[in-house]
Amino acid sequence: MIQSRWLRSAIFPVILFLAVPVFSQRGAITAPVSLDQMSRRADRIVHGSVISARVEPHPQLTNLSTIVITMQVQDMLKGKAATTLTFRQFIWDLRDKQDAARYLKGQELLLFLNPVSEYGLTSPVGLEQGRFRITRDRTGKAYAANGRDNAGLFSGTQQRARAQHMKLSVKAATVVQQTNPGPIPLDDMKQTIRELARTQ
Amino acid sequence: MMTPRRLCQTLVSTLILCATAFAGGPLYVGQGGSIDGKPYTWDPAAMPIKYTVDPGPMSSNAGKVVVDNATGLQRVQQMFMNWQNVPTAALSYSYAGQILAAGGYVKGVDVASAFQFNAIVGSCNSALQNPIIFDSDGSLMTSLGVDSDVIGFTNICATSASTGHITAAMITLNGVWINGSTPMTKSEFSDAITHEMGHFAGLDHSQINVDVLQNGSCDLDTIAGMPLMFPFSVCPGHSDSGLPAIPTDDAAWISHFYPGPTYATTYGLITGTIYFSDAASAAQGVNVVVRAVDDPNTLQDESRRVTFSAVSGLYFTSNPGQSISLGSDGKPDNANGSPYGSRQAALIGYYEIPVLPGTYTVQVESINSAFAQGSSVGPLDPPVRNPGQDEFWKNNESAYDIPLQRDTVTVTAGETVPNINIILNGTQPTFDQYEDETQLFETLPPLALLRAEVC
Repeated sequence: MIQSRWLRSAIFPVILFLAVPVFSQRGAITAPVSLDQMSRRADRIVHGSVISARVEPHPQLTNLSTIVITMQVQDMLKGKAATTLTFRQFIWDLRDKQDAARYLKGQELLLFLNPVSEYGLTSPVGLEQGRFRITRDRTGKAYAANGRDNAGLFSGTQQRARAQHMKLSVKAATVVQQTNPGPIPLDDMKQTIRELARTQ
Repeated sequence: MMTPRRLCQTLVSTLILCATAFAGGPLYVGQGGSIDGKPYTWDPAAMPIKYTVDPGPMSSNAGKVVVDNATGLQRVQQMFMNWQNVPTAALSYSYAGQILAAGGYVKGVDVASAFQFNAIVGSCNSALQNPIIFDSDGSLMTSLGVDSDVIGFTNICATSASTGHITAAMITLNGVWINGSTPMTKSEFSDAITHEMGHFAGLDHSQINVDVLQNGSCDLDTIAGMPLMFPFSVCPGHSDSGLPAIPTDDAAWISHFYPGPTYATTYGLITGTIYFSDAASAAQGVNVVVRAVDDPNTLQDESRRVTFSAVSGLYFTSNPGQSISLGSDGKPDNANGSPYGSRQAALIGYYEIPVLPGTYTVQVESINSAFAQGSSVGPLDPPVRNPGQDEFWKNNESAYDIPLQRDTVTVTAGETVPNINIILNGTQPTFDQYEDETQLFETLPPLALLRAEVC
């Protein structure tokens, strides 16, 4: 489709030219994280749908607002298999407290989750960078895009894969060559993640 | 699909447009009563804003102090001074000593545990202090379930819905980023945290010279025009480039929200409304960019350097509420919508932009698709594409004009130039509550992209 081709060629192969590019997020500023780094750092990588999302104080750290998200698991790409997954995320932005950090019931997501801390807290790796929203086109084909619209998602991935002697399939190798932002077919993304996670 | 006619219109447009740019405004906007449509700001009568600082080191590595407390404190003071030094803004800060005792936190102790952090957040939530926390080795972030990629975060702890004021806020800095284990420089870290301090003051992101994301051309004119509140940092910082720490757009907005005695004699204002092609329905979420007309007698490109921006509908709510879809956790609470932003229909497509005296062009563009969620600019998240074509304002605005034909607007100090309205070309009918999100993206591609493909 002409629109989506233009949309995808939209922007930057360019986030690399600064020494340390940074992204700002709701009340936070973060460094960019690429897919291989996220795959390595994530304790769990889950594809599923939000069953519930509620904002509540942390049970021990009662001044901290948290959001408790329960997901119906469709596919656990990394971590122990389960049919449902519940996790608690610290939130600090007023809007996040008001709109449950935009986790919506029924929303389909692909999440890269950090290890759970001693206080039972976790968050997506790189915050919104490790949170992919799944959308479907008119034929039902699923696409994944993170909070950066996948900008810089594969920065340095090829080089690191070569340096670590990773053996990527043709499809995964093609995916990690992408330099433009925009949604990526979910099946291609998941295959690439599995390969990146397996070889690490 | 794009029709041949629209494709042709867009191709014609690409032959002329030279630069794209993008926006500024408030982080939170009041709703109802006396604060309706007004930005949340600190109380000007309560200046200076007093902040307290962690007594521990700013940065450490493997137990060894890299940036000690005295140096860290000095840097924090300098970062706040960057904003305070904007001469037309009545915004001031003062160091009020070490973080105050709160709950289980004892004054004078390095803030290192989640329990200490929790106690301090409690005091901030109660508007008792505005703490700056040094997480010197990133361990606090880890305790909070946040990974080391977070350089810092700002928490607006408390606001007053009756006065529209921010009453307490805090910032947590991750010292890992300046402990020598990352390539981040001192000034890059300073720029990043000064950006966070912009949020601390109530500023939203803004987008100007965003074409740099496509062409990677970080020339000095481009850097000078890029706001500190740009969502991504992709060019060398202003301080590293020998430029003022607070660029033009940021200085204008902080002065607009915190006007000092010289604001009215230094800035003017351009206001208007962005309309769909029917010239009646207002369009929210469109970037409006004001650029100085380039002076051919200088080596600098003023159209890249002297730029200001806002998003249409910046004071209108992002979610007026509807009864069709459910809210979070299955509750039908979407009917109430967002508690932020006005519900006055007249503000849906309204914009206002503070500018220095001069002669300007005014143009509309889409917000970059990568500026979603926390990187969002303006009220809508995710951003909608400009429902019409990117175009310039001209005296005889219509839905059928040539996008790149432009007239100029001259503004003098203290003057408000109203009704710089733009009627978008070739839009579909205004969105309604049944519109699906796919519809929002099936509009025209950005002109700069098209230019790249054509050439």
